[in-house]
This record gives sequence, C-alpha cells and structure tokens, in this order.
Amino acid sequence: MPAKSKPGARMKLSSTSLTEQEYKQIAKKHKPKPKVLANCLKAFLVGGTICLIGQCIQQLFMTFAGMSSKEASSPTVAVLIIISVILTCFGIYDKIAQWAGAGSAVPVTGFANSMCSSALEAKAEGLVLGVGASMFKLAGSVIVFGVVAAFIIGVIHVIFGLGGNH
Amino acid sequence: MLIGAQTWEFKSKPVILGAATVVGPEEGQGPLTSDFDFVYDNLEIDEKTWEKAERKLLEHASSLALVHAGISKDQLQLFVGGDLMNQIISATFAARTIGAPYLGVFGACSTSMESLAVAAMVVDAGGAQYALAATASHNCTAEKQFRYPTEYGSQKPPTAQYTITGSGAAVVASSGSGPRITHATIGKIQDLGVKDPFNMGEAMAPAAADTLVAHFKDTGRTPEDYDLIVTGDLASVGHAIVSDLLKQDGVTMEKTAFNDCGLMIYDREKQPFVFAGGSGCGCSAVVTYGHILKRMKRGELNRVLIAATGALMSPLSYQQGESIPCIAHAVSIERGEN
Repeated sequence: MPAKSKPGARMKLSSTSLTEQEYKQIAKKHKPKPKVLANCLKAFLVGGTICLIGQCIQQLFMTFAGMSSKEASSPTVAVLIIISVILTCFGIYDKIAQWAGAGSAVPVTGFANSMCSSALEAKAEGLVLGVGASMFKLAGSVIVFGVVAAFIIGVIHVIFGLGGNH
Repeated sequence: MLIGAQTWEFKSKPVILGAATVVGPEEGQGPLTSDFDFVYDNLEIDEKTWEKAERKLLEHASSLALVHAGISKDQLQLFVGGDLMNQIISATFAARTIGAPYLGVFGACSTSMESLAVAAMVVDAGGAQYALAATASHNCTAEKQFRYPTEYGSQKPPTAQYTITGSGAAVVASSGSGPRITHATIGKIQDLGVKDPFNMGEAMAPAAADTLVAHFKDTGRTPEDYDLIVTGDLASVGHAIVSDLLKQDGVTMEKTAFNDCGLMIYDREKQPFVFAGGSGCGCSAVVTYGHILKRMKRGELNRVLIAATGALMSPLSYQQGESIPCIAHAVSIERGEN
C-alpha cells in the first residue's frame, strides 16, 4: 500500500487492483493527443489576421479621418470590439475560437467575447445581479492581474528608472 | 431481494408500461432520430431561458410517457426524477406540474438508471402501482453551469464530450404488458484521480467497469446472457478504456454487442462538434427509452443491460482541485409480452 492513500484511490475489480498511476497508463493509450503544432500554426494565422485587420482599420482612420497613429488607436480598438461582440451575438465567435484557439482568445476581440458571452448568459438572472454582476466573470481576472502586473512594472520603473520615457 | 453484494432482484419484474423521449435539434440530426417521439427544431425549445427549456423537455417527455402508458396524471403514485442542475431544479419544477408524490435523485448522468432502479424498487415493494422515472439535460444549461458561457470562445480538447439536449421518461407499473425490469446493480463511487472535466470518459470508465463486474458476479450471469450491453456516456475515450479494464478482469465482451449511448446518439463524422461523443442525464435516457426499448418491441433484442455512468463533480470541487468521483448504475431489462 502506498503511504498516502485516500479512500477510493485504489480500485478493486474482482481479480485486479489498480492504482492511480497504473490507471493513467491504461487511459493514456486511448486518449487522442492534442495537435499542438497545428494548433500553434492556426493560432498564429488567426491572431495575425486579427492584428492585420486592426492595422487596416487604423490606417483607414489615419487616411480618411486625418488622425495621427496615436489618435487612431482608440477608435480602432472600439471597432474591433464591436465586430467581436456582433460575432459573439450571432454565435459565430465560439466557432472561430474552436479552430483558432489562442489566436482568437489573446487579442482584444477575445476579451470582448468573454464579456459579451458572460453578459448574454446572465441576462436571464436580471440586469443588476445577472448582467452587471456576471459580465466580468471571465474578464475580471484579466483586469485584476493586468493591474497587478502594471503596478509591479511601475514600481520597477520608479526604482531603477528602466524603460518608458513618458 | 438483495442478491450478492450490490444487486437488487425484482421478484415481480415491474413493467415499463410506456416510455417517451423528446430531443433537441442536434440529436434530431443524429442516427437515432427516428426512434425519438418528438424533435424540437430549436435549441431554445420555444422558451426564454435555458433552464426553462430543460424543464419543458422533462415535462413534455413525462406527459408523453403517461399517454403511451395509457394512464392519467392522477393515477401516478410516484415520480422519481433528477437532472444536472444545482438543486435538481428541472426535475423539481417538472414535479410541480406533474403533481405526483416526488423523490428527487441526483446521480449526474447516471440519474436515468438511478431513477429507473428506484422506481422499479418501489413498485416491486408495493409502494406504488404506477411510478414515473424521468430525467433531462440541456446542452446550454450544462455548459453554463459546469463550463463557460455558451458563446464564449474557448478551444475544447478532442476528449471533451457534448451534453445532449433531451429528456427520457418511463412509466413503471406493477402489471401490464411491456419490457420488464429484472435487476438493478447499484454502483460504488470510483475515483482514480482524474481531474480534467474535459475528459469525463476517462474519469467514469472505472465506475462502469466496476458496476458491470459486480453485476455479473452478483447475478451469476455472463455478458453472453445479454443481447446488448451499453454504458451510459463514456464516449470514445471512456468506452475504449472500459473495454480494456474489463478484458484485464477476465470479462470478455466479444460475444455480445457492447456499445455506449454517448457514441450511439451522434454521428461523430458528420457532427464533429460533439468531439468524443454525447453525455448528460438525457443521453442514456433517450437512447434507452427511445432506441433500445423500440428495438426490444420489434423483437430484435430480448435482454439488455444498461450501465449509466455519472461524474459527480461540481464546478466548486473542480476549482478546489478535487478529482472527479464517478458512479455507474446498471439496470437489466427483459422483453416481455407485447
């Protein structure tokens, strides 16, 4: 018997007895392997395409609205968010995501999708306790750790004077 | 009535007087579509919320089962039901509509056979003349409660399973014509440390193997005594593992038809979004009460064993790093006179 055994961790069939490790070995044979390389390639393609679309939108703002690249960045993000929200509402974004993986999760469109899908799902629970409370269910941790990371980088910047010339 | 270690033998052999199945659009596009009594063409089931949709499926299947059994709501003396929702709300709200004395049961996806076993036990003991066993699941309520919002874009691994949208109900009676329930083997919790909720088949396979082995041991039967043995919702990964486990234990399934409801309900080639196969309370319920009972009625099967499997986890236990405790309950059904 292993020193640390929890109840039920050892399975007893009538003639054989399996430990968690032995079972893992049996199960491994039947588990389809995730296609890591193909998934990386798809993520790169889709993520890159989303960024390319963003770049085009920014260029349009700069060419036709006479904005500087800095001025054009905010409306560009807004347009990408709107596109993502529309695709989420029509049930298309999650299908793209199954193919694209990280490619559609990492850009700002993925962030918009996480908020929009949570809000849609919570609609049945009402506006305040449903939509309001649940909208950041998935996106909340991104904001929390984004702020924490920014704080740490800020402290490093102040102490060592590294990076950032603003 | 207890034989062996964990099997109930029903001396009076309660009858499944009538059964009904109602499914959603995706199950309606699967290979078993002609066996279902009603196919909804929209995932919303004409309701405003996913939870109401699941409840409606359960109510619809239950009322159809009563019609098929030829009895009225007032004649029903017990309703045993359950589902996957927190506090089994779908079954409870359906029980409000049905109005019969109600026992709520939770066995995750094994609820189909758990409720049938309890109903048969009560009828066999004389506790009711007519008892209804029913369960339902909805893809979107399950996604919402156990995984992510339905429209959230996350990539699922190939081991993931697709919760079916559907409900199955059966009226168990002390006498009448129809298939007869002869045995029920009540499973023990098995937990071999699998923590991945996107790989339920691997988590549940030991439970299925354990219950099947216990059933054969308790009853003295062999797999050959059955024309068909099905597991609940192990899907492609779990079904392959359970076949291995049984072989290791000296139980050969080659001489009988051995399948899995999660594999039977969808065409995985044409419906790739189901990944490894179907799952959910409704999965083994609609396959058993729809497909299998109809095949028995046509005389294609004489004796079947259904081992419904359930992963008894909650989003809370999973987030706290707990592994997934699993269970399987097996019910043996024989063809009666039609």
